[in-house]
Formats: sequence, structure tokens, C-alpha cells
Amino acid sequence: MQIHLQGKNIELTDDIKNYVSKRVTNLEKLLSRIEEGEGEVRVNFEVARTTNHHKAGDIFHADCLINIDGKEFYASADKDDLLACVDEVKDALYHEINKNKDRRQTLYKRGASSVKKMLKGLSKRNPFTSKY
Amino acid sequence: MDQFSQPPGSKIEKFEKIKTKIQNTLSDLYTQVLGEKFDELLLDIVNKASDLEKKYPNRDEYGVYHALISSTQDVNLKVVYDDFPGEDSIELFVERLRQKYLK
Repeated sequence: MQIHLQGKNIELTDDIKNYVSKRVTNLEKLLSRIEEGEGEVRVNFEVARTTNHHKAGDIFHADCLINIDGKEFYASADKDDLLACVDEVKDALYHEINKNKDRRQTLYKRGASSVKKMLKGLSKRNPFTSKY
Repeated sequence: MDQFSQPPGSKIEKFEKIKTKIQNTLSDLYTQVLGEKFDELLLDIVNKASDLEKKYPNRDEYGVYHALISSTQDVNLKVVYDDFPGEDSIELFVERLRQKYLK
């Protein structure tokens, strides 16, 4: 997995780097199962301070683009706290990747179940589309 | 290496890699191929399984056969960790399916 962290209008201190790295590592467990299938995973994480004029409000921005073998997952957040921004992006991505995984599992089961039914002679057609 | 893992390069380790590759390719196919193409894909798989059934009476002993039809292997049967030879290879077959339906 390649991780690329970028800062805009903000100094990337070691604390920020470590925090983002830990959050991406939390995603890594989920991503590593995808990587087992020899898929390539690229992570682009960006943190930014959106304004220099304001001291309060949603002045921090974080976004992350994860590319898994060409399929992209993206999340962004704006908050008054940079670390909370990073957390929100991580949570959104975790949810998004899991949702995709669930969908894949459902479709895989559908295909596998169709093959089994057709092989058993229970059906001479695809039981899900009712076509011969 | 824990007590359950296989030494690198062992027959079972190679088999596991091939099985994972077959399962991942089928997963890609089942999730990306739609409509009439999906029905055609299912027929290709069923026809391949039927051909193997006729040609190899012991096909149930082959782990790769179960990977193809997504079934569980009978624990009481002997396990064959090899792929079928030559043109009967399931690894080759699913790779051809990938080229046919996903390219």
C-alpha cells in the first residue's frame, strides 16, 4: 500500500503525520484483505487550513482518495479541529469500503448460488434473471 | 511461521494461491458482468463443470473444482491440491473468462 500525505497551508508536523498514519493503518486491516487479491492500493491523504483570516469555525479541511485497483473511494470533511477532520474522513471511508465489500459479497453469493442450482439440475436457467 | 502455516513454496501453499486467484477472478466476474452476459457467464461455468464431471470421475477430490463452483469440499474425501492438466486447467479457464468478459 502506498500512502501519500500532503499538507496545504499547514505545516505537516510529526504529530499530524503520526495521527494520519495511525488512522490509515486502521483502514489497512480492511484494505489488506483486498490487497491479498493482488490488488494495488494507493492512498492520497490531504490536510489543509482553509483560511488564515479566521481563528474559529470550520477552518480545517481533510480529504482522502483511496484507489484500489482502479476503483476509487473518496471522503472529505471540514471542521474546527484538524484531528476530528481526519477521524471523520477515516470513518466515512471505512463505511464506504465496507459497503462496497458487502455488495461484492452479495453479488458473489448470487453468482455462486446460481451456478450451484444450475449444476444440481434444479434450474436450467439463471434463477435470478429467469432466463433460459 | 505458526503451526498451521505451510512452508513457502509447498504444494498446499501454491494451491492456496491458485484457489484465491480463482475466487477473486470469479468475484470480479460476478460483480461486474451484468445482464445477458451474466447468464452467458454462468452457462460457461456450468458447462466447464459438467465437462470435468464427465472426464474426471474423481473431480470432487480437486480443491480447484470446488473453487470454480463455490462449493465446500467433503472432508471425508481425499484432497487433490493440483489443478487439472493442460486445457482442463481451471486457473486457465477463469483467466480466459476474465479476458472474455472483463476486457
